[in-house]
Amino acid sequence: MIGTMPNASALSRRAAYARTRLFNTRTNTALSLAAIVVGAALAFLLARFILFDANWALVAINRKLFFVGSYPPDEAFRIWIAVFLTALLASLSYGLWGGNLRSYAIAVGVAALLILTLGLGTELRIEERPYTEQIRSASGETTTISGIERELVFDRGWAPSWLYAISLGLALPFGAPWLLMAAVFALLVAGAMAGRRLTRWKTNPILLQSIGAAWVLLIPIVVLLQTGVGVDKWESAFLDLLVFAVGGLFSFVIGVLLALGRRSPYRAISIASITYIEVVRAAPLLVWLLFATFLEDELGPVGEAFSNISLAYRVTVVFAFFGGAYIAEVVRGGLQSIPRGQYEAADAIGLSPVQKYALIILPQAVRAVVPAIIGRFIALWKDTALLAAVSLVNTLEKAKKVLGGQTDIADGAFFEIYIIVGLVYWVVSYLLSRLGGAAETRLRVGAR
Amino acid sequence: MTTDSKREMVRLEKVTKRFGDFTALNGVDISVTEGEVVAIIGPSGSGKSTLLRTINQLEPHDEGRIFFDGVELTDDSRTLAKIRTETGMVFQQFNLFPHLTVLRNIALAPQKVRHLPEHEAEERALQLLDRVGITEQAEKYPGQLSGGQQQRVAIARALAMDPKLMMFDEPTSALDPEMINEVLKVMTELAASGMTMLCVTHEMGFARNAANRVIFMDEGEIVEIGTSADFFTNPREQRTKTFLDQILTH
Repeated sequence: MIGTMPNASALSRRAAYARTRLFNTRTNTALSLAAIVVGAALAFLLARFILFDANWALVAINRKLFFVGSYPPDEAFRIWIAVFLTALLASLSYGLWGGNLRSYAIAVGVAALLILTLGLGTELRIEERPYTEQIRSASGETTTISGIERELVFDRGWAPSWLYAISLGLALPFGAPWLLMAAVFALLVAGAMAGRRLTRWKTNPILLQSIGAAWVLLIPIVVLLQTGVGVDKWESAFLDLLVFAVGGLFSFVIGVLLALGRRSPYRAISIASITYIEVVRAAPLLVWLLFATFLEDELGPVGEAFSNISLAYRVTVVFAFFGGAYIAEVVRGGLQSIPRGQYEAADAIGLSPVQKYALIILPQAVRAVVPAIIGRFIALWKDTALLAAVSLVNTLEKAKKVLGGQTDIADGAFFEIYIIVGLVYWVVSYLLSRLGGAAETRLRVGAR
Repeated sequence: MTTDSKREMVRLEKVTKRFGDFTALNGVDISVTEGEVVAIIGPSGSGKSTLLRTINQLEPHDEGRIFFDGVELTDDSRTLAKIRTETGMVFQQFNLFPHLTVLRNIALAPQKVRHLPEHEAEERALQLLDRVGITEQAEKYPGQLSGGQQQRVAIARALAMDPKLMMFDEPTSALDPEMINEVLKVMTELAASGMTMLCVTHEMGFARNAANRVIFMDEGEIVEIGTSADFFTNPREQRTKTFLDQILTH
């Protein structure tokens, strides 16, 4: 087998590395062994918790709350349309930009299989166990307490409970009818395949521009879809995603404008931009969010008009303007990296100032700072955790409510619940990070 | 003048340009007629590049008047657009757009400024690439090309707007020696085709053979103007003689 050769040599290279770097002296050997022991112990504890001790049934039954909160079930179609549009665009783009189709199809297939075999058939029930406990008081008397302990469990079939939990988790968070779920998975595969077929026209700028435009349009479409429900119904991960997506999109636009404004030859514009950036960055996001919450009391009639705007919209505006101040500085760095010759060449061939920036300067400046921009977006996404502080029910707040409101079955299940909260933040951050990596490799073509 | 019958393309009258306390151009007078090839030589810092850059207003002049194709350059945006679209400029550092393919580099301005349809702009771009001899590089990015190839693309980009005047700002100074000739060959062909050219250059061979006239500049002033034959064999000014001695002895 030709394929085994590099593997074998890679393995021996690793062994050699370990011998010469990790176990070459007594101290190093001791440190390495200690690290291995501690690492293995942590891994064991975590695995034991995840596989055996954790009560994932609690997470499974609350999955709807974690993802869309108390969104009215009759209006679920609004979220379904959003899911369908996003799935279609994402898979289309994945196929078009040359992602690995085979591993993608396998992942989607495994998810679909899990849902259809385990997730959608899974029942949950509450197990009741009577218990008695003897408590010895300080004075030496013993009292006996008895009661009923409730635990939410899967109606067990052949699979372990964590597998049921994953399957249910994949069945999307809002009591998904299996036909709709199957359609989403079918769309994910079909979209990627269609995207791959489109690669033959990949150099066609109209195709790329329309896909880019579709992504930008997706956000207002999803938001408009929600208007029938009322933004006070937005909760949990869904709220976080909307605030982040809308706030993030506008923060980019605002950031680019501020970065250009800062370098404007007109003193008034550049001073205004600098003042804005410095003022906004001088206070923590939390303070700005509190401003947006309480400003109405201080502004008289303006404040009254202001208070009619839903809080979710107000915090989104804060996210856009706060994020914009940071993106502006990142983009400014990109602009400074563009040599003067590029401006002169653009002038010399007769481009107008707008064309010069739109076609020559900004495309280069932005792609020079893609990693930093992605970093800002990831930070902005995680900042949605702060929404809890202004009485919006974000993922974190919802988790607290579950823990506080279901004490009979959720008593002490902090770990399970917060692992899921962490997972929500992690998944989106990871996707953003991957997106950034893909953008970097794509855009590196033609770098100096 | 023997070229009286021809149209005057560029005229500078007492043009002065200062950078702070430094006077880069000090009352320069020049007239260039259509079809003429003028080489501008002189020590570094003598104002050669600044001279070119005032003509297309990359550096607006402080005093004096500049006429291009009969129109005086003012800070009116229309005359600025005219000078920029009707002159081509080739830079020492090429200044190609690194994020665009060679073809897009050339087709961009005709498409965006002249509003040519994309296929037409790219067809013409391919013809220009053929003229500078690198059709096969059309889909590559500038960073994938050698310096000489990049400079030829830059010439094609400048030619794409059908300029009435081509300006070269030390086009071979950033090139490895073995690539200088491929660029000079393109420039010589261009000169032979009747293009009006202003070339700041250190290539005395090109100045002697391809140029009609040579301008020698020093300290922001024109020291001497002569036909290329006269200039090298019979320099009149002492400063010219010293400069030529310095660069021709080795």
